[in-house]
Amino acid sequence: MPMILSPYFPLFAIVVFAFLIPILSDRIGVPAVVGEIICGIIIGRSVLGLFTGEEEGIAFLASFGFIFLMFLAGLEIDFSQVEVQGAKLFMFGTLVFLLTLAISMSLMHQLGYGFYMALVLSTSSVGVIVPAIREQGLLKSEFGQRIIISAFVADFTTMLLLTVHTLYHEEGISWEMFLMLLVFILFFAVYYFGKLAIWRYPERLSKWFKSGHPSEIGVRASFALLLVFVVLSDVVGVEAILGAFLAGVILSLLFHGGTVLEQKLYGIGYGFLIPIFFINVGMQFDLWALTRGWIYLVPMLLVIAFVVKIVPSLFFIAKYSLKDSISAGVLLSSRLSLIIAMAAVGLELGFIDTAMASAIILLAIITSIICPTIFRWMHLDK
Amino acid sequence: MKNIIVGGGRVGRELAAQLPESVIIEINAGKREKLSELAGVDVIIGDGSDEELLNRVGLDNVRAFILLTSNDDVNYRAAAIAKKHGVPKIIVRVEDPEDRERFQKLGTEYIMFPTKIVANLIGDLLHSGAGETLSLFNKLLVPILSENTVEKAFKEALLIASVARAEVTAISSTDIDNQKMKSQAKEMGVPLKILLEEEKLGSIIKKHLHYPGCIIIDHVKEHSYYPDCVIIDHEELGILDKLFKRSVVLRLIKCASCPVLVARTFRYYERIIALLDSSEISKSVGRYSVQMAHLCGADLHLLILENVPGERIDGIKKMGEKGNVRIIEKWIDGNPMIEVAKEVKSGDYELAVIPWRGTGVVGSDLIRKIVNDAPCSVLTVV
Repeated sequence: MPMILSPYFPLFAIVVFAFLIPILSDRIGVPAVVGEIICGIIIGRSVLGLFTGEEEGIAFLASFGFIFLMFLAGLEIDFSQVEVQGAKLFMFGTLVFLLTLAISMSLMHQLGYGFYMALVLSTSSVGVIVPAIREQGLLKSEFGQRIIISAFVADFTTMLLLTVHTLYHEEGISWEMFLMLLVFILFFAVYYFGKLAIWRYPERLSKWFKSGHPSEIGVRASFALLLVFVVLSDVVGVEAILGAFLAGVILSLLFHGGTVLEQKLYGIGYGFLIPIFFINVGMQFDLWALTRGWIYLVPMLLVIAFVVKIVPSLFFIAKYSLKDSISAGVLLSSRLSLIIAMAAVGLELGFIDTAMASAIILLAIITSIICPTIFRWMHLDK
Repeated sequence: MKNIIVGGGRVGRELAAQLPESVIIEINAGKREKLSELAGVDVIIGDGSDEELLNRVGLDNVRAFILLTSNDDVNYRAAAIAKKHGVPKIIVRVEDPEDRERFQKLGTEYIMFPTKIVANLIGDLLHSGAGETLSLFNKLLVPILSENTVEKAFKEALLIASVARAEVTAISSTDIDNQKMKSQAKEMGVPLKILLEEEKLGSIIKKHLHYPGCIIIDHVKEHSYYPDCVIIDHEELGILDKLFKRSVVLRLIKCASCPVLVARTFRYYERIIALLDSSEISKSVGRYSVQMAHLCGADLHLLILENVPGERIDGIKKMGEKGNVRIIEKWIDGNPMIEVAKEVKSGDYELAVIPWRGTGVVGSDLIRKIVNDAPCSVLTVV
């Protein structure tokens, strides 16, 4: 077995694939993330069986990659747009999300599934939506911002509800549930003192963000912040991804992006840790569980995934055409990282089985490919 | 405490008439007679840059040392002696704008360039005849919140109005010494209109802090008055005021449709900093900052926060060239939020021109912080 040759062999194979996949994906025209998951499926247990994803080091790196993905998701949110557009966009996004959740809950209830699946289907993917909107030149338009903020509200609220639901499931309504407040208290404290530090000590902070600091102190500080939130979240029983996401949001709120530091963090994340996570997701994907009589799950989830997003998006009709409103709904139907994360968490906590987790991953792959394509097609004539 | 005025020309005489406890040092013995007519003013004939003479006059108990000769070298030598003796306030008239750096290096706090201001004024008169220049500051509104405002915001408004040939409208109340304001405006040749309220203005505003519009702006609108700029005092906010957003200044800026100047400098500006990013509002920031620099004969430092289209910077430079404004570009390396805090707090500027709403790279939190706590005057542009 080649693995015996060197303990680094699995990592070697994964990073080589991680290098080749974006080049191939670009040629085929699918997102690199989708390429990574498909590659994972091929080399994983479903097809070739070369790797299980449980190899020493890989499992840890993949799990940290997942945390880092959530950290970067928080970092990527552009709060300045919210500042410019005001609270009304948030209200709109919340309204769309509440209707999504309500429809999702009702449909899932009809089909005999619980609240967790309703939550899973209420997610969106800011990571897929933003590039699609940017490609159409709608990033600065109110229409584009409405879609992005709706996706952000959906992702953030789902993550919050996931934490509450998990805590409730594990502990019931107990005082421990209120421990999660500690994470939010830490969030506001770091935010408040961070703001104060920027105003009081700009000279000291300035060098952290400049290129060429010999100790890369800014990167170190970001990792320290991330880990403080991840560890505190773990200690109080909150999902670590929520802590990581909040750490990213703090950096985005305090420093408003566009910095050398941010580029360095993207480099570490998208260049190394995150591909390992997505390839690992593919490796653990159970294609055969789906085919063993559960294949109907995918079209069912697909239909619901579209319905729960397109119907609430009809709110867009107050300001935009029916075609635009439907296109917004279609784009909001794309799901990727968060839904995959929720599948992983749900499987671990026993909320869903392997077949459902695999169906959710397949749903993510399909929607992340077709939704931006349909959106682009609907805006072709503009 | 006395004031020492070096140079008994027309400006020196005018000033000594306003400051009775003054000593005038004049080199030309022929002016003695005319100067002696000033009540309460001691006249000494001699060279104001002669250290021995200055020692005889006494530099220990001096409130302000004012250098008004038309010879920059004399002014420079005298300022250096006063600086050596630790005179707290040195005000210098500089004839040649190219001498600015020499005086700045010396550390004199107040440098004035009458030549540049007068040249710009005459240039404006000639241009406006041809309809080429339209001042952005024709109507200035000053809410007189307390007696302090007469000394601060009103004074700054008069300085701007005197160079912009603008009219000032003050909303005042019966408890304020309105006669004093009238005489100050008359001395500076500024047309003044006072709208009288029976109740204290500060209490009226505080009472209507949650009124949907701005009570001051709506009040003057009733008189069909639409200001080009509102000039208001810096406000001391307690923690509770900050927490419950009980800031009169921020409330005013939020609902005013014109720029608002928070007065903290009370003199002509020498160095102005303008924050420039790629947003649309930066065009207005550029226009207002060039206009202000032109009126005051100041240098304009453009702090460029991100990739700003070259044509925008060129446009501002062209405006600067036309208005005889020296423009210094400063590109940011590092995080814009931190660099902005660093620059604005540096104490190197008398005025910061900033966009009011968050524009992307600079968050609204930092903007509010600058408005509330910057060490210089702040002009917010909407």
